[in-house]
Amino acid sequence: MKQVTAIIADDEENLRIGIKKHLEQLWPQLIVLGQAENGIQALDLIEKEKPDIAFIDIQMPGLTGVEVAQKVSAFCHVIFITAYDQYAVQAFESEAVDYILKPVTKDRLQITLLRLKKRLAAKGRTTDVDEKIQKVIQVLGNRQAPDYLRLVKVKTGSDLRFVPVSEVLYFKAEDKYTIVQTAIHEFLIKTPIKDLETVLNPKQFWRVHRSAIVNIDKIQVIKRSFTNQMMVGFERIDHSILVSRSYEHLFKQM
Amino acid sequence: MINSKKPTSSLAITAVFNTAIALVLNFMVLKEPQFWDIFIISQLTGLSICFFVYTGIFISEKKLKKWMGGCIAAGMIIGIIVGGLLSWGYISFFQEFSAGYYYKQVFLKIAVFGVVFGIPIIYFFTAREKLIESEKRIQNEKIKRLSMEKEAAMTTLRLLQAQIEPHFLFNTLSNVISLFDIDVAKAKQMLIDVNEFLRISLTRTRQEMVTLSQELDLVRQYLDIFKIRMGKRLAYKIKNKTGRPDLLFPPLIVQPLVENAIKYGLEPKVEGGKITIDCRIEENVLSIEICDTGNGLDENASQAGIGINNISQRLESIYGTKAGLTLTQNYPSGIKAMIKVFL
Repeated sequence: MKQVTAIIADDEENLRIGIKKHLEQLWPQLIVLGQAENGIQALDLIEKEKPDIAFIDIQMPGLTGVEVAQKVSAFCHVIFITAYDQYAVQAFESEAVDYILKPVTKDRLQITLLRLKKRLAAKGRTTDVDEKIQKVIQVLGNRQAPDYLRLVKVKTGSDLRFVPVSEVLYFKAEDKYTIVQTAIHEFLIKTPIKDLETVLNPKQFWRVHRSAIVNIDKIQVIKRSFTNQMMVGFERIDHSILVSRSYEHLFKQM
Repeated sequence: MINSKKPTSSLAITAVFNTAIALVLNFMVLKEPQFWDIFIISQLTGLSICFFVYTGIFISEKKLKKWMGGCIAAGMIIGIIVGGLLSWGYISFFQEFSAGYYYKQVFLKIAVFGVVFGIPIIYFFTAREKLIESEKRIQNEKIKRLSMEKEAAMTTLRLLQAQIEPHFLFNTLSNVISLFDIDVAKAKQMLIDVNEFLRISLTRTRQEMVTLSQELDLVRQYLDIFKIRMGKRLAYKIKNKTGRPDLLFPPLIVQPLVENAIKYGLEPKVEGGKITIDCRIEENVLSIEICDTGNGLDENASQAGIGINNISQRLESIYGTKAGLTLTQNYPSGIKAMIKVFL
């Protein structure tokens, strides 16, 4: 019978050594061809050595374990290693993809290995592994749904600075730039108002004018000018922002 | 004068206004000593206008949203007519008919005064009240959202404070277990570190302030654990040049920033990097600088921001405007977090 080969990929060396030691005891015939300490190395190693089995940690720098698996699952049996990831575990369970939970104990590893041996004996791998892994990837991908912007990247002199949006009073278009006003500073960014509108939390940031978005948490007064234009004023600064007629309803329907 | 929530107070203010008109008319314009008659006509006209304008506003708010101006104008005209009829009734009942012409002049003047001064005042009060209302709504919305956010922040804070972030704990324990097979002494050391780290973070859950050196000890403990896990991928240096071992500082400000630096900066970076923490006092300003040479904020900016907002808010709630946190790009790579506190 052909000898079974494997690789181990984990960014933490102690964990790689630990798994290797367990494997030596539980499955002495298994040949560990190599170890990788990040996703890119793992992918290179698998493509070069073509092992039968790859033990891959999910959270790795470079490429994640899932990304590596996506590329190699056609010719290599992937066993995921994860520390704590309920979503991943659910996905693995429902798709019957092999995985090991950290801390990796001998007993747990033994169960996984027995299952694995059965599959390998049953003439290699089931054909739908790719599909299963795709599903897992989908599940894991959905979780990282795009989030609202939390930090605005601004340039101050030669420095790049990150300003939490919660500190921003308002964004206002000015020529080609957008003013980012905080209680203390005024920054200029190049992102146009209409692009900002799509990435800011609409519950906190209201478009009140063609050229302005305000942080309603920071509004201190709502007033009217002599010409009956609605204006909003903010903490710690003395100028206000004009609310155009078409957006006035926002302040009435709350 | 017009306050849709409190019609009685509107009527009272109107009565005062009417009295003022009566006084002005009596002593400055007509200069006749028939004050009580003028007073009563003024009240009848004014209150009638007020009543019908109020009715107009009420109808427009309930039924005819778009016809506010029209309803007010209609209310005004009806008010003037009814006020006029009432005044006329009063005069013919109590006074001899011959005085009618004279009182017609009085009535007209009152109506003109009422309308000329009343409209802007009505307008002013209605507009002001609308604004107060929308401000109130904003306030309520804000309070509601803030209390929700506060609750969420408290939950996060409790988790942060306990520091039993599952990923951290399970990964660390995996390391300890593996280390027992490789290097027992190291495994022991790591368990001691974890134990110490958990003890410190759990006990300080109930503390408002700790000393800066205590906080830095916790950070050192935390980084030691990661040093064993990440090996040569992590280097760190902590410098406390404040020269004040008893300097108080709130817990869980520095440590979460270090955690962010590891989680979003160094762990995802293939070659790892270095964390430098530098504390000093210059001209009564405490500055704590936390630099990492990690991946920077581009890729995980939105995630990293959650912690940052919490830390900023915490600093503000403790120090007000006397403290601040700024994040800048570190060169050649990574992030520099700078906390400044005016002592």
